[in-house]
Amino acid sequence: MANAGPRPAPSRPGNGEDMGAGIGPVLERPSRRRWPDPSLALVGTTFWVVLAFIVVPLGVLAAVSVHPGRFMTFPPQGFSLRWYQTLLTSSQWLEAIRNSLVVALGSAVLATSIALVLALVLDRYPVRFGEYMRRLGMMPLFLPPVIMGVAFVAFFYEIGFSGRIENLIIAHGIFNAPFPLLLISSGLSKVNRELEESAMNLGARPATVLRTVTLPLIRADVFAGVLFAFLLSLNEYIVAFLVSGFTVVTLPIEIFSSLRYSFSPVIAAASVLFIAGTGFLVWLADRLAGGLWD
Amino acid sequence: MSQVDLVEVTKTFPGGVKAVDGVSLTVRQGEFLTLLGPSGCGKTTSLRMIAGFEQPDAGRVLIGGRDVTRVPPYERDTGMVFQSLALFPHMSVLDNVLYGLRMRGVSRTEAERRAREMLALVQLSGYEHRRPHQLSGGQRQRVAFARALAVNPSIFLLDEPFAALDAKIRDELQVELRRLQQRVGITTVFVTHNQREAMTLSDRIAVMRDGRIEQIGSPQEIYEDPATVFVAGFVGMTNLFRGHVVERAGRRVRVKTEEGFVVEAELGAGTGNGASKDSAAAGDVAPGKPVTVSVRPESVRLEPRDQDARGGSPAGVDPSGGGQGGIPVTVDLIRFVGELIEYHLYTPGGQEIIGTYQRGQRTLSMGQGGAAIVRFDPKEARVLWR
Amino acid sequence: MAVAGGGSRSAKQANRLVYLLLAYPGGMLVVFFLVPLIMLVVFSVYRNIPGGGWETAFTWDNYVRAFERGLYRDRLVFTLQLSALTALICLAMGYPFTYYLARRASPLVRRIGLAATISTLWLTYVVRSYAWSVLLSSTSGIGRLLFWLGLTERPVGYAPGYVATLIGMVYAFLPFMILSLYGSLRAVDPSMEEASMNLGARPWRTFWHVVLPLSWPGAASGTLLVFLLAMGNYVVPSILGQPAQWTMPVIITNQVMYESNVPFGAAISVVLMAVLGLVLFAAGKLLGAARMNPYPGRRDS
Ligand SMILES: Nc1ncnc2c1ncn2[C@@H]1O[C@H](COP(=O)(O)OP(=O)(O)O)[C@@H](O)[C@H]1O
Ligand SMILES: [Mg+2]
Repeated sequence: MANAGPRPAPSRPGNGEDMGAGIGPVLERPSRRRWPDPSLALVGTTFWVVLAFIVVPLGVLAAVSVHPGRFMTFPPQGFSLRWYQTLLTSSQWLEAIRNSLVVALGSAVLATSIALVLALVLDRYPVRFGEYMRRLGMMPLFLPPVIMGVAFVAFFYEIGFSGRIENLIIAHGIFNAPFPLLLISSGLSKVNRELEESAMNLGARPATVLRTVTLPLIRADVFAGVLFAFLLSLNEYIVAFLVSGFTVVTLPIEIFSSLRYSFSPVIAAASVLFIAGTGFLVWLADRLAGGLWD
Repeated sequence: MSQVDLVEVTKTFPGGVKAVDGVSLTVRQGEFLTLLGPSGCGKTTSLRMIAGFEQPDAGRVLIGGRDVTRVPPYERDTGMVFQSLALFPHMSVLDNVLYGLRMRGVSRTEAERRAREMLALVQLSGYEHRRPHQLSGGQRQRVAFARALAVNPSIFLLDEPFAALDAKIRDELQVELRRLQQRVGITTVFVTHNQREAMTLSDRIAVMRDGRIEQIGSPQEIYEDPATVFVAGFVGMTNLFRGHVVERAGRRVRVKTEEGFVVEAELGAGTGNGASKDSAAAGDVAPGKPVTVSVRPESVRLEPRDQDARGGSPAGVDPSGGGQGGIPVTVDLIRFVGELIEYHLYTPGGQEIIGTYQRGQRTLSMGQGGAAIVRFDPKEARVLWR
Repeated sequence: MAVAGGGSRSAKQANRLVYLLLAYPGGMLVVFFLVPLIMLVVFSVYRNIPGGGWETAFTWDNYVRAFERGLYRDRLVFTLQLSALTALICLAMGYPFTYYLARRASPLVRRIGLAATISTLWLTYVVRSYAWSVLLSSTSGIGRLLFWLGLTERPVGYAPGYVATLIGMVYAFLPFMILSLYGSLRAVDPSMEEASMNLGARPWRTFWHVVLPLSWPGAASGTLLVFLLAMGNYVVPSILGQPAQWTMPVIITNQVMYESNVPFGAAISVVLMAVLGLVLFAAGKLLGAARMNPYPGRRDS
C-alpha cells in the first residue's frame, strides 16, 4: 500500500550507507569500423610507428646480447650466450647484482612499513599531524631525484655517516615511500568500515580486528606496494649514485660506469636481464593490485 | 535476553547534525521492536549507539539494566546484522559464523558444533565451505543472521537488512526472521524505512522523525490511532482534511474543512500516545482550533450523487446535516490493485481523496467522470493536530 | 566516524596511542626527509674549501657564482628549452598513439600497447639510454645498417649529440605521457562520439568538438609531468649528450661527485628547485584558467 496525502515519497537516504548509483560501463566497444577518412589512417600508422619506436631499441639490445661478436654486424654472425656467461661469472657484476637486491629489498620493506603504519593510523584516526606526515611522505614524488640525492649527501656528510649501503636503503626507502602509501591508502579506502565494526561486534578487540580482518583484506595492496618499491629501487640510478659516493655499486651504477670505458655486449646482457626482471615485477604488481591501468 | 533502555539519548555529529535528539525508549525482554522512519531520521545512529559504535553526547544506554554507555562494542554482547551484511569476504561461510565464537574463546570443536547448528537453523547446511560471494543474496542474509546469533548475544540488532533484496525473497526472509527470533526468544531491535515491513514483523513500532520518537505502539495502535499527522501519513495510506473545530462533544468532534464541508471525527483513544506531546488526545481540542482529520482509504464510503444537483456550489450537500452530508467528489480514476479496487476522487476544490474496496465486496455502478459523495463513519476518522 | 574508545581508556589515552603509532613513520620522514631537505638549504650557504671539504659559514658566494657565471645561466636556459621540446614532442607522438590505443585498438592490440608502455615506464633510464646509444652508434647501430645497405660511405655514429639526447629524452618520458593521456581518452564515452556522428558531424569534427575538449586535462597534465621529469633527469643527457648537452642535473652531480663542491651543488639544487616551483605555480594558474574554459579554440560559444 502506498501513501497518499501530504507525505513525501520514501526517498532513499544519501548518507553513504546505500549503494551509489552505478557508473555505467564505459567504452566496451572497440569500434573496428574504419571510416574512409585519411586522418584516421594516419592515426593508425602513427600508432604502429610509435609502438616500434618503443619496442625496437630494447629488441636491438637483446640482439646485441646474443651476438657473438663484440660489435653488431650485418648480417649477424650467429647466436651465442657467451656474454651472459661472462656476466654471471664476473665477480664485479655479481657484486653489483647482490648490492642492488639488498638495497631493493631493504628499501622496499622500509618504504612499505612507513606507508603501512601511516596509512593504517590515518585511516582510523585522521589527526592533523598525521595528515601533514602523509603530505610529507608524498613529497618525494614531486622532487627531482637529483635534488633528493644532493640533500641526502649533505645530510649524511653532516652526520658523518656516508658511503654505506644502509644510507642507500634509507634514501631509497624514503624516496619510494609514496608508491606503497598510495596503494595501501587506496586499498584501505575500499575496505568497508562495516566489516571492521562487524568483527568488533562479534567481540574482537581493535588489535584482533586489524590482524584478522583489515590486514588480510589489504594484503594484496601491501604486496603490490613492496613490489613497486622494490622495482623502483632496482631501477633507480642518480640517488643511489650520489648517496653511495663511489663505494657501493648497484647494477644501474655498474652498467653506467661500464659504458664510460667500453661498449662490451656484457652490458647488453645485463640490460636484458634487467628488462626481463622489471617486466616480470610490473606484471606481478599489476596482477596483485588488480589492474592498475585498465 | 535482556531489556534495552535508551535514556534521554542525544547525538550530534561534527558539523552540527543532530541525528538523535533526546530519545528515550525501552525495548522489553524478548520483544521485536522496530525503529521506523524516513531516511536520515536517526534510526541507524540509534542502533549504532546500542551496539557501541557511536557514543551519545548526552544520556545513557542500558542493556539488561547495566549502564553500557562507555563500554566498547566488543564488550557489549550484541549481535548485529549490518545493512551491507559485512560478511568477511576472505573467510568461508563456516569461518564467518565461527568468528564470534572464537573471539569468545570457545574451543574449536564446540565452536564448530555450534556454528553448524546455526547454519542448519538457517537452512544452509552444506554451504559451510563456500565464500560469501558464491552465495545468493538471500543466502548471504541468512549467513549474517547465523553469524550474529551464533554467539548467543543478549540483543539482536538489524539495520535495514532486506533493503537490497527483491520483493519475493524479502517476504520469505521476513517470515524466516520472525520465526528465528521467536524460536530464540531474543530481544530484537530492527531498523527499516519500509512501513509495510515494520507492520508485518514487529511487536511494537517506534516511529521516528528528525531524531525524535513520534509514537511508540503496536502496529495496530499505530495504524488505527496515529498520534500525529506525520505518523498517519507515514504508516499506511491516508486522506487528510485540514480544518477548524466547530463543535466538540466528548470524543466526538465536528470539523469544518478548508473547503467548507463539515465532517465528524473522533479523538484517538490515546493508546499509543505515550511519547508524543503532539497528541490530539489531550483535552484542549476546542471550537476554533486548527486540526486535521485523517481517514483511511478503506473507511471511505462512496454513494452515487445526483448529477443535476451538482450545480456551481456543493448544493447537493447539506452543510448542516450533522456531518452526514459528506463530501461531493468526481471519480477521476479506478484502479484494480490486487484484491482491492482503488478509487481516485477529486473534491470541487481539487483535493484528491482515495477510497478502497475489497474486490467483490460491493461494486458501485460508477465509471470515470461519475459524481459521488464521500462519507465515513466518525469512529473511523481521527482528529489530529495540524 | 570514530569508533568509541576503549571502555576504561579515556579519549586522551587513545590520542596518546595515535601519536605513539605515528612516531615511527613521522619520525622517519622528519629525520630522513625533512631534515635532509633543510640540510640542502643550509649547505648552500656553507663555504667550499678547494681541494676537499667545506666549512660552516653563512655566505651568498655560491649563489653569486651561480648567477654571475654565464655558464650556469646558459645551462639553465638549455635545460628549460630541451625539456620543453621533449614535452612537446612527447605530446605530438603520444596523442595519436594513445588515441588509437584507447579508442580504436582491438583488445589484443590494446593489451600489447599497454604492456609495452608500462614495462618500459619503470625500466631504468640507464638501460634505456644505453639502448639508444647502441642504436645510434657507428659500430653496432643504424649507422652500420645504412653502411651495409650501401647508403653511406662509412658507418656513421649519431651519438653522443643533441639529436641523440633529444631522442633519448623523448624515449624516456613518452610512457608517462601515454599513461596520462590514456585515462582521459578512455573515459570519453563512445556514445558521445556516436551521438555526434549521428547528428551528422564528420569524424574529424567529432574529434575536434567532442574528444579533444574532454581529453585536454590529460594532455595538459601529461605535458607538465614530462617537462618536470625532463628538467630533473641526469642519466639521459650524460649518456647521450656531449658537454654541450649537459643539463642542470648533470652540472649539479658533477659538482657534488667530481668537484667535491657540495655547497655549490646544493646552491644550484636550490636554484633548480625554485625554478621548478615557479613553473609548477605558473602551470597551476594556467591550467586553472583553462579549466574554466574547457573548449580551447572555440569562438562561437
Ligand atoms: N558519521 C556521521 N557524520 C555526520 N553526520 C552523520 C553521520 N552519520 C549520520 N549522520 C547524519 O545523521 C542523520 C541521521 O542519520 P542516520 O542515523 O544514518 O539516519 P537513518 O538511518 O534513519 O537513515 C542524517 O542527517 C545523517 O546525515
Ligand atoms: Mg540508516
